[in-house]
Amino acid sequence: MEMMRKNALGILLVVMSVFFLTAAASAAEKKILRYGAVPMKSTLDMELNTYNMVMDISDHITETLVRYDDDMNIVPVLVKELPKPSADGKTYRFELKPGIKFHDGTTLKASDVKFTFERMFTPSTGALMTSLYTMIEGAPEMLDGKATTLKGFKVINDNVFEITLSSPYSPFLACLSASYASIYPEKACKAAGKDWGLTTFIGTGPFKAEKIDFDNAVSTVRFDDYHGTKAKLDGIEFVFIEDPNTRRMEYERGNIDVMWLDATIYPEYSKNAKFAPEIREFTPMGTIYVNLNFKFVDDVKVREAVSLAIDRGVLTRDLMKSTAKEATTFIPPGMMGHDPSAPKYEFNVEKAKALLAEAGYPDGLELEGIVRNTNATGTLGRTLLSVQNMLAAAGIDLKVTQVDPATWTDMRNAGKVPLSIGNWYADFADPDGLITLMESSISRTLSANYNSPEYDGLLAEGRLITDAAKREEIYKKADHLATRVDYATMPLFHETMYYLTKPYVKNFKMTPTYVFHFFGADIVK
Amino acid sequence: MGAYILKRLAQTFVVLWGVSLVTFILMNVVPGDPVLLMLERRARPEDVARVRHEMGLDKPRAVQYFEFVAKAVRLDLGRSYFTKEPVTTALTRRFGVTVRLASLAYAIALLLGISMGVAAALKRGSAFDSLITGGAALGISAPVFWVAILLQIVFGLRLAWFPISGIRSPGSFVLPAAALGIRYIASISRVTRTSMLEVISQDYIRTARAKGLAEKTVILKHALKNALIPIITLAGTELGNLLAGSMLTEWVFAIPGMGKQMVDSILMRDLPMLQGTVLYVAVIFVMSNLVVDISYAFIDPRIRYSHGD
Repeated sequence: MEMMRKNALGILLVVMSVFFLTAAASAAEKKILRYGAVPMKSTLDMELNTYNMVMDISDHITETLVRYDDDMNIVPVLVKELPKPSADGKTYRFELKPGIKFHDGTTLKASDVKFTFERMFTPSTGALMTSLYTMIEGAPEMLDGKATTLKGFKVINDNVFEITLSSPYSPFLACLSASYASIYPEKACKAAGKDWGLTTFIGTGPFKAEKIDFDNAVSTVRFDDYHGTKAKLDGIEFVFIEDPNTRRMEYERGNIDVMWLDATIYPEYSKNAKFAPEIREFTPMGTIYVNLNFKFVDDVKVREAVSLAIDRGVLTRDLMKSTAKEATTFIPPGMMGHDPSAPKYEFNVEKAKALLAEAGYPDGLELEGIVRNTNATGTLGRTLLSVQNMLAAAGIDLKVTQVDPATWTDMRNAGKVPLSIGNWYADFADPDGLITLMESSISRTLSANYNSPEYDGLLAEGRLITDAAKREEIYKKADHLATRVDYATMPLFHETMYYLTKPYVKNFKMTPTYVFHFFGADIVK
Repeated sequence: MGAYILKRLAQTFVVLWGVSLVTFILMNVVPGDPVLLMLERRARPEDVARVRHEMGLDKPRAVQYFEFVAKAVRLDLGRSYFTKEPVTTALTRRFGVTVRLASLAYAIALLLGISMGVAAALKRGSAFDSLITGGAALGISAPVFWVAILLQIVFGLRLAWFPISGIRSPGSFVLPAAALGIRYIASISRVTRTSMLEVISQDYIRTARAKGLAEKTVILKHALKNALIPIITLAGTELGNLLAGSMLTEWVFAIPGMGKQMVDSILMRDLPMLQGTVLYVAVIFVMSNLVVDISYAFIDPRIRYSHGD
């Protein structure tokens, strides 16, 4: 009896060991990428938020009709090919790839695309980025509540549809590449109602949402019926960790595979033999700049003096430790409209003083710079303090005030910020999305108040023209006008950013629009 | 006692109404428009107006407040401006997290704080007493985020005994509870020591010893029980603090609790979420004070509430 009991115990132990070892092996074989993310604090529905940190997640689940590839070309995603505009430049005819499945098994139809856009323009949705798409005929009427259907969207059949614009708009396809135009399944989205993006979020992307937990993590698994190249990863887990130091400890312990590297801790990691090889860099399409509010200073001589007093070389070399590229234009290198022949912005303190004297400020002047307290110790805050010192040498006394982000946003929109420092990144890889910063309608809301009919005219012209070479010249001209003639904005540098990735994570890139795309990523251990 | 409890509960509603009104006024007085925060860089006036209208923020303030109250009495606190999640759902979930964290921290604080305070009092003037007193001073003065980071580095990163952050495994609450509890251990041990020193010098303790009672009985039954009133007062307040959430601990350990919720709501000007969180905190404080007051009667029979005091 005793022997039987011992044998039974032995068998049980062996079975349990096999079970646990098999389970462990199976778990170990799963290729789950763990990305240490900043908490979303928002729904996943990109119609209802504007945050890149949400795009990091939502872009893996939902897709747009077209997208930028790694070489910054617009490529079709849900459509068979890129449509050409009609002769009058207003109508685009799209054909969906046949048989594309949503994660709930339903097939993507033209009616889903129509629903997505009509939902965006329905006032009760509360969509935020409608301004990128109001060139579609009938969109303003829907937003005003005067129409319930989108006049400019015509469904031809299940796979074919046409979008008509109220006037030609060259960057239209670029706008469609932005995550705000992600395509949703009509039936599921309607059924979810207000819980869309909260508990239910379905798309056509390479990964489907498995668990949406706003507090801890969003887990996705590979979508095996994906219409494109299937993901190599079994899933991605977006783990939310607010504190950058905690995130890096989790990375060091091996609990996360990829994370942002804050610029403030980059020098420490770059000297660390273990982690330095795991640092990757990228340059987002954007610019760090100083804005001087025309409402406070509209004398171009004073504005030029401010620009002359800033030593951009010192900022990039000493402050940024050569992790940034000195700006010579507002449009960054690599984007249409960047002028590679543009010289460096002049640094000349004596000339700045002379200009101030000419403008009636022989003894200098006082300015106030406002910065968000959340940026105070980051790149923007530190740059503004350096600028403060540089301006002092030219006789400009810059008082720097810190306010909380909500107060800052209020002040900025009310035009109450005399001088500010900002970073502006493109939502899509077209200059129209970038240098619209100085367009009068946007500039007014950014406490810059630049109002140049010539500049606005150039941007309007750029939107109408389809010839790439001509557009290039228009944006070069607009950039020159704003940054070297009117000094509407003072570009400082183009920042390089960093992230850490474990050596076994392969084949992924940060997009120039500042979003992680792990579509082709793999884990090879 | 029953009438007293009913009266206190009735007062709670007045307190909650007052708190909600003050919060609403404050959030409407301080600068910061949630719509501008949402729209960020593309806040064209027409978009701002449209979104404000959809969120009901263009209605007169009084109407907004009375709509809130009308819904709140039906336990509908609205939806977050940003996550669009029902506030009650978010609060329920986060309350669960905070309760787990607070319970563990509270248990650690009570157990260690009272034991150390009693031991220090009994060995007054000894090296042990100095150690406890010095340790308590350090525990009270050490910033919680510093303690938290220290624990993370030593027990999370170097020794790898516990998770560094998050709440995804049973051991996840150990380091945050320890970080949060240390301050309370220190304050409870100090109060316990002081209270015990006062009690053990009383005549009735001397009498108890003279009667030949065992030292254990003298300390636990006669001394500690009588020293408990100030400890309970402090412990009650600390319980309120713990249940209101600890922003710093939650931030460092990536714990989605009430403290972090409140700060996020303030920074984002997420009024529905903030209203809900503030109401929750008010309820916690009112109820914890009520529990403390009631427990006085059980600990000290001389305290009675029958005369409306």
